[in-house]
Amino acid sequence: MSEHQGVLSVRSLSVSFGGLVALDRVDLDVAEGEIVGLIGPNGAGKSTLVNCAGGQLEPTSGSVALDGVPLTGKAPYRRARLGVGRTFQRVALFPELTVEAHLLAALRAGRQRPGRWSELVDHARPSAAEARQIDEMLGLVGLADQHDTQVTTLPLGACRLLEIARALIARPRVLLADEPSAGLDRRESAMLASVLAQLPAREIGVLLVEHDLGLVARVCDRVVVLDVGHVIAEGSFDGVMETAEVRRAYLGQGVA
Amino acid sequence: MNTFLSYAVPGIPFGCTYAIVAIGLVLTYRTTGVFNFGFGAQAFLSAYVYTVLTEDGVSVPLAFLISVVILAPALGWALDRFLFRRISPTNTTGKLVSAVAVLVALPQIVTLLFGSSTRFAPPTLFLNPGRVYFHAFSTPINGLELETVIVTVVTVVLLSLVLRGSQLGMTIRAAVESPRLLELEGVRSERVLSVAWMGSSLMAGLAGVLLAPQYPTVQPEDYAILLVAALAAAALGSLADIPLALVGGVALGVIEGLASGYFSPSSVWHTGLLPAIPFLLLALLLVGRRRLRSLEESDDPLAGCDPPPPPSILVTRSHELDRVVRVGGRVLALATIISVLTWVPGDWGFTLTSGVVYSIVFLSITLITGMGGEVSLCQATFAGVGAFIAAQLAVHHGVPILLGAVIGAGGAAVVGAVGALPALRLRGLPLALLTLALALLADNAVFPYSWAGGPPGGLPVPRPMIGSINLATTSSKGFFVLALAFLFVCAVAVKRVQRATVGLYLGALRGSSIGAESVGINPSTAKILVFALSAGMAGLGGALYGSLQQTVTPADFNYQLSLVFVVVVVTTGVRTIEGAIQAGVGFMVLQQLLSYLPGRWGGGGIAIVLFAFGSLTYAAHPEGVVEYEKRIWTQRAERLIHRRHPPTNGVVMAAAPVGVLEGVPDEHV
Amino acid sequence: MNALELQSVSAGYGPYRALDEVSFAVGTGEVVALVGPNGAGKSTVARVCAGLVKPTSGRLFVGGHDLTGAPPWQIARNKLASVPEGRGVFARLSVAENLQLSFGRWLGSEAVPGALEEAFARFPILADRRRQRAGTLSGGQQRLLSLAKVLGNAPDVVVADELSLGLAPAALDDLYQQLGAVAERGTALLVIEQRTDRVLALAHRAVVLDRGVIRFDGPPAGAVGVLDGVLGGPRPPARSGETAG
Repeated sequence: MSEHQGVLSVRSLSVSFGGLVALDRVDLDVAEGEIVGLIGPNGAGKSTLVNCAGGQLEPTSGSVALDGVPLTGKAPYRRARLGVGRTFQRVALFPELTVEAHLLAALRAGRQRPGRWSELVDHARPSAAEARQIDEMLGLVGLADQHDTQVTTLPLGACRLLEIARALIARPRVLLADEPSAGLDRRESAMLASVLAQLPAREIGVLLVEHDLGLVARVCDRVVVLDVGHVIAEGSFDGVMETAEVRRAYLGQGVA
Repeated sequence: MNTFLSYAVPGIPFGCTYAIVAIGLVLTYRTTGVFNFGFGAQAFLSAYVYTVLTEDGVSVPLAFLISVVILAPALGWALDRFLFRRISPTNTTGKLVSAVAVLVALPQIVTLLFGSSTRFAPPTLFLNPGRVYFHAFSTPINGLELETVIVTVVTVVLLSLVLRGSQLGMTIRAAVESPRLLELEGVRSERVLSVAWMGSSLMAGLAGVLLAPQYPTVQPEDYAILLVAALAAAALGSLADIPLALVGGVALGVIEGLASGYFSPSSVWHTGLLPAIPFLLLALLLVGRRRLRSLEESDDPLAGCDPPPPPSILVTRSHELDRVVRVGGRVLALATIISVLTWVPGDWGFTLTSGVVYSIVFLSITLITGMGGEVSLCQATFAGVGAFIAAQLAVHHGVPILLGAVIGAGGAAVVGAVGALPALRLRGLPLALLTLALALLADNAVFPYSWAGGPPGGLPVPRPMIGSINLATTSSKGFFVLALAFLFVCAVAVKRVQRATVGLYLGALRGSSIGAESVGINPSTAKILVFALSAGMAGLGGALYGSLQQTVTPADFNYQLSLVFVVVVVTTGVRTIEGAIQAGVGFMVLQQLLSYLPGRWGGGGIAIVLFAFGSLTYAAHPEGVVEYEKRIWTQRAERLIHRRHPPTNGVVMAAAPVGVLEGVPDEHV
Repeated sequence: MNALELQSVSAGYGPYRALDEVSFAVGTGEVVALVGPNGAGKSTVARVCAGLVKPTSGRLFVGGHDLTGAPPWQIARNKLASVPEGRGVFARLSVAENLQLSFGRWLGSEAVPGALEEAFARFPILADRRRQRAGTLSGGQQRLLSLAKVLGNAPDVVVADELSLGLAPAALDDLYQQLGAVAERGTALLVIEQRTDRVLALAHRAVVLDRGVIRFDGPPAGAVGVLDGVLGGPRPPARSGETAG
């Protein structure tokens, strides 16, 4: 890990809902160009962690930082502008907007630009430079010919890929992907894997919450296993899967 | 201490009247998922019928049976069957607007049916109103007060028993969240909701008849005010807790009792603060209470079973037809304008001018509800702010009225932006309630002062002078042109915002605020901006309205008008500029046409009733009547055009529209 | 007599057509896997079976009764239980209330306490959270809750859409074990799955759906080849939970 520069660092993060502890002093780092898989049994606190990083949830204690800048207490839109991109377990697209409009909105909103007042009267049409970025991004996720498609008519796989494109277009530093393969068929999963595999080259870190271990094994550099709010194992996929604790808690196998 | 009690105790029976309405609101909300503004109107209806029957010599028990036990549930059944059942449980705007429609329309229907003769207080139910039964802390308690307290307490106990923990209570709560999911368990959700509506309407009838003897006459306004005052009590219970609503109601009564006791009748507190107390409390509770923020924030898990909403007709319309419609629309508009300027008689000219001015006010609703996705119930208040600023400047400082109108619009925009600040964390129902509280605060604590709303007789507003042309003397034709010019500028401004990046952000926020925030869209800026723009436009419209009328009074801008406005615009079409203009002109033209009808049918009431019935169609096609009709006629026209060579079957095969309509569960936090 | 039968069912959403003359049956006590790519119409089949989407043509039989166009509650009363895709629980009710509501309807109020204990024994993770509002559960836990409802209800047919969505490997193993037990007791199952390995191992028969049309109906082993054809090439060799240990 020393060869990487840390992008996202989670320190001693704890969350409790009422009396229930969802996360208990969790530490986690994602380095630039690294894909970290976050796995664990249902209710282990995976999405809770992602929501704390994305700003949808405030932790009870502990901190989250991006490139050393503390994120705690910042609203989600601020974190997005600082470089936190994310997707949702349940896709959160904008039903009234076309595919292109999704990316344009994300592109324009996702940057700290001077003169935001002009947004009141300018035109919501992509400039030549923006159009190039949108084309490039749609090409990456395989939606190149779908600019004007209404998202309500897209199949689920395309929706998830569009969500990834929307998160990536403003060039975030880290991508938080919450179960992106849930509900995808084999073909769509393969497409997703190939998109994810290209991300390290874009100099960002990825935190991938997944249950599809095939996908995790294929794309992740490192895996962190959560159980009842604790990190129970960390390391390479194969190494982690050997751990007795993981086999018991996650794979549900007795240790012979 | 004794003084304290002597002020506090009389507040208790009065607090119980708040409490019983608050409990009814909470009950309806919990058992039907609808925040029923119509509750006040339903209570009024039962009270009115009860009064009419007892006046005609029907015995009290029989009158009670007819007006409460039979009529009230029957009305509830009908409201459910024909209106609320057709609205998706997640359509917050639809439920809100339909409930408001019931509140404004029902009293008008009563007037149409029974005439508007004054009805005096009916007899009480079972205790002698004149007799003092006992003294509590040296305060005499008469039968009227005792009856209210007894019925309220018994109701709370009964309801809590029925709803708490029982299978019925669970089933009702499940039906409120998702009727379809409940049907998968073998439950007839429609029947459950029907029963819930009948039950809560029975409660409305009971409250109405119980409270009727407390007022000297039976009037809908009293019930509407009681309803909004009771909101504060309901808010204390987070619109969910019946015993807390009781506590809230009684506390509100006691606070008012104490305030009226301790503030000297001549003080500014007595005149300014006292009537505003419930609305002030409501506003504070809405801003401060966390549980109220998350109201209705779950979605229908089975939404994927519905077909996707049809795209706007502007997108799908063929080019030929598009051109025909555009050209046709312009010709029609031009013909109307020329007609007004040439041969149309004066009263119709005035009507159309009013329509144009109303359109400007209604465009503010297009901004806030159509684009911002939020229901505001204080648009008339914003209009009033603009009108009073312009009028006060003209009267006291000699500022020309057109400049004053622009300053008034700016003032209203500032008020709107400031008003949006406490609302930043709210959306949907709680936000609408907050705007209603603001409207009532203005009605009770700001507009009555002569520095704001002018002297009791009204504030004179001049017509503008353009160069040497006085628009007051050259009939209203000049003013018509002026109003058109303002409308044009406003419409262009709205269109511009729609097409700008901000419009894109607003579209994203309407679709998914969590998704929009995750890409860097700031929801607070968007909300403040929309409120400011919308309030400014309403303020401009208000100032022009004042200038057209040549006088303004607070009654021109009270909260009830805000309610009517929202109903009218949403049923016509809140998403488009044409919708607002058609609503504005249509509303005025309809009223003018109806004025030719004889007798009681000739009032403005029937227009309101017609638009309220329009909300029945809103339930079926939420884009508004105009948009719906446009689509139907476009499809017909296109079928006619393509009859010779039909497009490929018109059916898209395979790809079931999963997309955003399906998906997997969110990890709720 | 078939527990569930679709006869040339076509269905869709507004202008979108999702199913074209689909016919297949699930025999009493039979386990049928319904597989195919996304957008094939699998969820629409589940919704037609549950009564949530009305077929535009064709017929639906549940337990031998013609229930074409019947509302969901009527189909449920013919002892067909559905697990809808996505969130199948009432977010504002507690975990225990969700179960009580369902068991009360299906088994009668006397049987509720027993069924509740049984369900909590089956899914200990739910027992720990019985007082929590279902909306605060994680996605996978909500899934388990909606399955716990159905498994406790002793229906004649279960239609489960995207059965294993969002479940961790351990929970998945557990679930399939319980499904096997339910099938042993004679409950017919129609299981719709995206990840096909397990369901094809459990099923007696498989139906492959693609673009609203049935491509295959026969033994599970035969479905694999058809599915590969539909999805373009065989499954890439990859490790997954069950092969890793």
